[in-house]
Amino acid sequence: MIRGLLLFLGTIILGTVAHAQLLIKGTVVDSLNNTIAEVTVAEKGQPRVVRTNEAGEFEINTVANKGTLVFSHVGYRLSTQDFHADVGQLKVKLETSAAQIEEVTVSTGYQNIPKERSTGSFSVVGEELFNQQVGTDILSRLPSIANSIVMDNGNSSSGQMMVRGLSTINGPKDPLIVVDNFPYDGDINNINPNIVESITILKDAAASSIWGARAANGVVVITTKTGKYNQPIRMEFNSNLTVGDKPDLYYIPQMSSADFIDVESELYERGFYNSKINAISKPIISPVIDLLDQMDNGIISSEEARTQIHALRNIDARDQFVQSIYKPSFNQQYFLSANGGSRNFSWLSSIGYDRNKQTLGDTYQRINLRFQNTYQVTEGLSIGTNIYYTQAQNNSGRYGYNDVPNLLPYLQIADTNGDALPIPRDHRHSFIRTYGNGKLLDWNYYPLTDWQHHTSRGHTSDVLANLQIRYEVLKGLMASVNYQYERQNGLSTNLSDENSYAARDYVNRFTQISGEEVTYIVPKGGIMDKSNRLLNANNLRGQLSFSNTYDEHQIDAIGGMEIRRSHMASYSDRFYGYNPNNLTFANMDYTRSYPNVVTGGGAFIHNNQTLGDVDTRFVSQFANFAYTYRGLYTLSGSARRDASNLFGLKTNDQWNPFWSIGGAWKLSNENFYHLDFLPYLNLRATYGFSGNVDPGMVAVNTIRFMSPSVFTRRPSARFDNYYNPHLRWETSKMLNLAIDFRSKSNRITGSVEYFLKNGENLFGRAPIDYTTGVSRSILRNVANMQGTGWDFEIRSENLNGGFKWNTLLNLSLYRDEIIDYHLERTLAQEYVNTYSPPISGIEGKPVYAIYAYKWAGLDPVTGEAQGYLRGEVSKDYTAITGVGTSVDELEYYGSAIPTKYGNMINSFSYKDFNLQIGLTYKFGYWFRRRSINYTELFNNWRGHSDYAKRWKTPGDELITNVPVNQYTTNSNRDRFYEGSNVLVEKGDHIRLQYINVGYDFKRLKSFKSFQVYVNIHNIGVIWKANKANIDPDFNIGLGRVVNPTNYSFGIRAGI
Amino acid sequence: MKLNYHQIISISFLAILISGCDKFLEEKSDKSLGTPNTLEDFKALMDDWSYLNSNFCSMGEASSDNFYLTDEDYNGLYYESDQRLYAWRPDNVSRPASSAGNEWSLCYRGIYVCNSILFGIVENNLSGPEADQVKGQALVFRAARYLDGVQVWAPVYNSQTADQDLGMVLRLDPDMNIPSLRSTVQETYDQIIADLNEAVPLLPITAVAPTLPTKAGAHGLLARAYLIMGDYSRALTEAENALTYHTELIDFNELDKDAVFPIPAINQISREVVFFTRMYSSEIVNNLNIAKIPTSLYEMYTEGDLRKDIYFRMDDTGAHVFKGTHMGHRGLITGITSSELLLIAAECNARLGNAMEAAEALNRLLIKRWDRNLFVPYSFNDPDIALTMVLEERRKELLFRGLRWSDIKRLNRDGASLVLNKVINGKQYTLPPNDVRYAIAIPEELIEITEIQQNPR
Repeated sequence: MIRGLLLFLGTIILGTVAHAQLLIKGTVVDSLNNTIAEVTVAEKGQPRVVRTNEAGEFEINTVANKGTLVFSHVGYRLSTQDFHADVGQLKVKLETSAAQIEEVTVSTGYQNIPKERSTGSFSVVGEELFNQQVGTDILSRLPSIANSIVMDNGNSSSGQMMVRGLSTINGPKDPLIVVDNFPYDGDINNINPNIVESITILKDAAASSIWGARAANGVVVITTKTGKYNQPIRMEFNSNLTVGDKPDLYYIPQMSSADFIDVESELYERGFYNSKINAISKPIISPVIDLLDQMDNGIISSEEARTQIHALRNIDARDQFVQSIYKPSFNQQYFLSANGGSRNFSWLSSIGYDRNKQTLGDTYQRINLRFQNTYQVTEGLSIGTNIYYTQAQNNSGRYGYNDVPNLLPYLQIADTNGDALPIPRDHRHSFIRTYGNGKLLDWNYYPLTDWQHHTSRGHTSDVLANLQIRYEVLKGLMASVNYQYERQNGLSTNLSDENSYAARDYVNRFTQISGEEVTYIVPKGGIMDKSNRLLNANNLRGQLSFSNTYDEHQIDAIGGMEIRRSHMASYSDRFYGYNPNNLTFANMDYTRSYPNVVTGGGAFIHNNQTLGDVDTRFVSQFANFAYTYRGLYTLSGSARRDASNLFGLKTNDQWNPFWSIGGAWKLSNENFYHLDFLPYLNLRATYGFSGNVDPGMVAVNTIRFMSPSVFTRRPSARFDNYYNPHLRWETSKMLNLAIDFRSKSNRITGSVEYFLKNGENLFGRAPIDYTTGVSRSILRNVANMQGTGWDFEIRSENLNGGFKWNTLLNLSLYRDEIIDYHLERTLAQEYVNTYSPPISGIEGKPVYAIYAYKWAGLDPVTGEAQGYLRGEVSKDYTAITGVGTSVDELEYYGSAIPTKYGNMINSFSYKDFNLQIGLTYKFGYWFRRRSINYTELFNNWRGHSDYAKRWKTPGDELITNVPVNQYTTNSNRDRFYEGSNVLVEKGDHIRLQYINVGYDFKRLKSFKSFQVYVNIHNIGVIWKANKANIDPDFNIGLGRVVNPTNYSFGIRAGI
Repeated sequence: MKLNYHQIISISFLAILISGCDKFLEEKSDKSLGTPNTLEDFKALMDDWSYLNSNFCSMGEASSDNFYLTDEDYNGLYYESDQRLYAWRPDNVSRPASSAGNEWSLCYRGIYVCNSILFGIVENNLSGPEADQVKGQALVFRAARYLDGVQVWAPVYNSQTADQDLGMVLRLDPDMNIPSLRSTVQETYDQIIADLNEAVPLLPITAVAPTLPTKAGAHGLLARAYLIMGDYSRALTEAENALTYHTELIDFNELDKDAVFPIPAINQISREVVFFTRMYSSEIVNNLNIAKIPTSLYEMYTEGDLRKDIYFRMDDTGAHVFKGTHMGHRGLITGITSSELLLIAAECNARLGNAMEAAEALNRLLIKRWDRNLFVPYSFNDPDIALTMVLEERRKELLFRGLRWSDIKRLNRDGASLVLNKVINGKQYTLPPNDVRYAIAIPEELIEITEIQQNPR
């Protein structure tokens, strides 16, 4: 295929003959004298165009020997220049257009193409927009500035970044992150945001198909800054300090201490704790129960018990954390960059240093070094190198509210002098106080100070080296070889020193006491876990690129081949009795079982040794071409195949083909086009196909070896994947239709895109007959889905005088639905998963949808929750949540992921001041909130402030939906309430993401530019639909708090 | 000419890239993965004791009369299905498959591994003594699962109706596309017996650990199966066969009766264990010792019976709880022990009219269970008295071993008329002899998605 492409290109080259009147040469620069590449240069009245090269240079053969040249480039005002026979070398200066269109060139990671000539759907975030936010990482900035990117927080607490909604319902949903030319294998947080020049989001199949299977969820290409030829030395400096608020712990719906104590006391009276109090293992019981039990056993007087318990009723465990544990976060960022270039050499070096101290005193430090240069060896040959080095270190800090297990609402971690107080951890206090007659180590857990003895450190070093050799074989035909090597070494050390609870507890558990004799099976001392992960990634790409213009024909084509190998070797080990002063540790016998000091039950000492070796390899072939006729019509196509070494795959499943075709029509360039108010109008359409295999699509059953059996001491293994001959490829087809437009004098520019996505045979976990013994569910081709959406990206220049006001609006509408479901699944319980919505299989309904049990109100007599069973009001929770309810008896709400979302940035400037305000919004979706779960409250101490609103007396059912406390557990009753429709809320909200204020000192002689800025970030929700005071982005997860507001102060200077 | 030269460079550089790709992709993506085709692989699968030896059914034990729960503990059970199981409710007694402890799924998970090993040995043409051993062991594991499951989800073996009564779903092939259909009780037992008989000659006499089946283990399971079926002469032969290989008994006179777990377990398995399988660690039966021993049962242990202190501990409420496990911790075993073999031999002898031999087998066990100074050996003349005494001893010896449920079922079949009673929160619950609820309900959600027939309700 590549051979054929070469011949095809060769034929065109040979068939081309140029004839012209004049050869005009020149350079195009911007107002700062930076050269501008890819400027379109045309002779007025002639269809032929040329473009400037990377050094801003152009050559054009004119038809006439005098006339006018037209220079155009998105983001700059159109410029014209007259020419005649002895005009000589031209130097043309372009002014930035007021609409400040960020970038014109889109980077796919394989090629840079002018956006105007592309057929695919690209959205570009330029440097200026990107820098309106401050922070250590890159990706978290995107949802508030980029088009069609949303962070879905309805499924996991960490959130899921999505480009144009769902493409697959199983497997990874993250978009592919490409840095410059290759997917980034290391930790993306290694990349310093200050080196980012632009970010391109590849949205449709035509744009992303060049990346093959990994592009199924969209591609984000991060382009870094590079040096430029012919440029004097420049330096840039950016530094900022960020102070962050403490988290608002009062957002957590913690049950009040008084309520909690009342519940505990009542349960105690009812004997609920008897088995725990009497259990031989002396399990943890709460301090209140401990007091009540001691009172009943006559150890303390009832008066004393009552006084002590009464004192706890007004405590709120959060108070001490707010006062003494959390501190404002303090982040520092410094970045210095220098670059320059001669005629044939360009270079850029930068150094970045970040130091973050978070609210719990945990720290993160990162140093980045970068050396980039390009050397034009001869006219046709250039060599580029790029070395990027990262060293990052993180250290753990104090224990936060969520880090302390068994933190009851009335517990205190410090006394009035600020000294640490113990809280129960594994055993009740009154037990460990005396147990072992002083022969055991202190068994108390002190959350206030334990963090000083239990530290985890991570250390990452990463080297990324890139070599690019480009050789111009013929005019317009470029052969390039790109090689990238990355080595990331991650070392983590978890040390529980001998005073840590973890070490004391482990030593105690294995201590053998017989009479006066004490034997420590696990020696006194620290316990250290060490693990290492070493990543070695190699990428090699050979590519031929052809780009040339022949009169009315413009051709851009690439073809090539690529191999990738990413190898991760890991190990972990544990050292007992560790002494950091002389690095001594003890040998342990992992094959013997020892009796527990309390229960006498045998247990093996935990051996934390693991080894891992994962080696993923890919071979790919790709080709891509675009043909433009008269600057009016563009046709494009791309194809790619990938093969990998995924274990156990059928050979014919190894190669995945992908392809796309597209077309564009620059309507505004047609002779018949006369819409003056819309001087630029471009229509685009693409269609592409991709497919996906799953690692589970094995041709044979595979097994995974595990650690040895403790009984036979031989290796053990377990089935990992099962051969399933019925599995077929998951395929996805996407159609994209788009209009790009610019109004007169660029007042309004933008694009509107429509896409239609058809996913067929999507993989999903389907419940199966577990009598097969395989598992409860299995990977199946479960569904076909269709997604449709609109992306609007509109920039407007609202005021353009001394006071300027521009708006950028990104709006995406997305809707998906199941169009065919291959399984019979009608049980309601499959559709009501309490917190993260499961994939629903109802045709015509979204892939992730919120369904709920119908609520029949609280029983007016007893206050119990009531639902419906076969149409009748019922309290048979087993049947309702079991096989008694089918999915069509549920109430359907709608999508669980936002269906209308985006962001809006308003930028204002007046004289030397500028101000940007960024809003994000999500609409058209639902979520399920938490409430009181009595089974969880009684068994696991997980309360909820809704308890205070529960039904207490008849009549309460008119004002509340919180069921009565019956002091008995019933897991199905709680499941019904949690899955019922009274807990479903609308997710719609608008968030004020950031405000950025800058002032430019324009009259400083020694600086080319000097700006000071203040940035406020994570300001919060300014409107929401739900009345439960829940920020829908911070709903998943127990003890979840809203990200606190950050305030940054910084300077940015250039010399 | 120049053009050709450039083309050659370009094409040859691509050719270099393409060559060697096939080899490049042959490397395993994860070194810890493999395809099961060697004997070592199958042995490794069998050494996954948490799939093969663990999670035998606790549902029968939870429904039996070995213990009771206080109302407080019953009300505090986390899963409603556990409450229903304890109260002999006819349906919805299984944990949902989405949570831990769905015993049907745990049972068949082990069976799948056995079937895969058995098919793998044939498919890979593995032969020789070691392959035979692995095959024999897989057969024993499979038979042990079916024998365990049929006690819970099917009515008791009754020679009159066994060819109509619903037995287990017999899955003998790892192919997951074969639909699940229930066999009859007769077919289930036939399969168990056939598997064990096929295994016996293939098995070793000793194994590295009691987690792996030996000849003694297979004979022991055969004895257990025949006893339940009422084929006492075969059961006797098998028990005696097993006892030729494994006779170890722990002398309770030498134990510290005050210890939390007095029965010594070296690396979590006691010496009496012939073949180790473990019961699912259920919230009802062995969590926190909420299962309390009925006084009537506790009082069966008379003065001099060391089990009174070695099996039971008085808790702080004055009730007795079980501590006599063979694992050195709370874990309960369901496998074969030498004590069970002696009790099978004694019972079969009594039933076959050999009163003397019954007494002999019983005394062999009891001398290790009684204070040696107080023990008076049994001697029987009347086989009926012998049987009564043997059954009483069996009741006292084999608690919390997953055996009582099937004992109640078979004794009731033979006319013992054992009526089980419970009072929960003031309400009386009764399970009359031979009630349909002795075949516990198969998980309803499974019935919904398969053709499996539910037990008559």
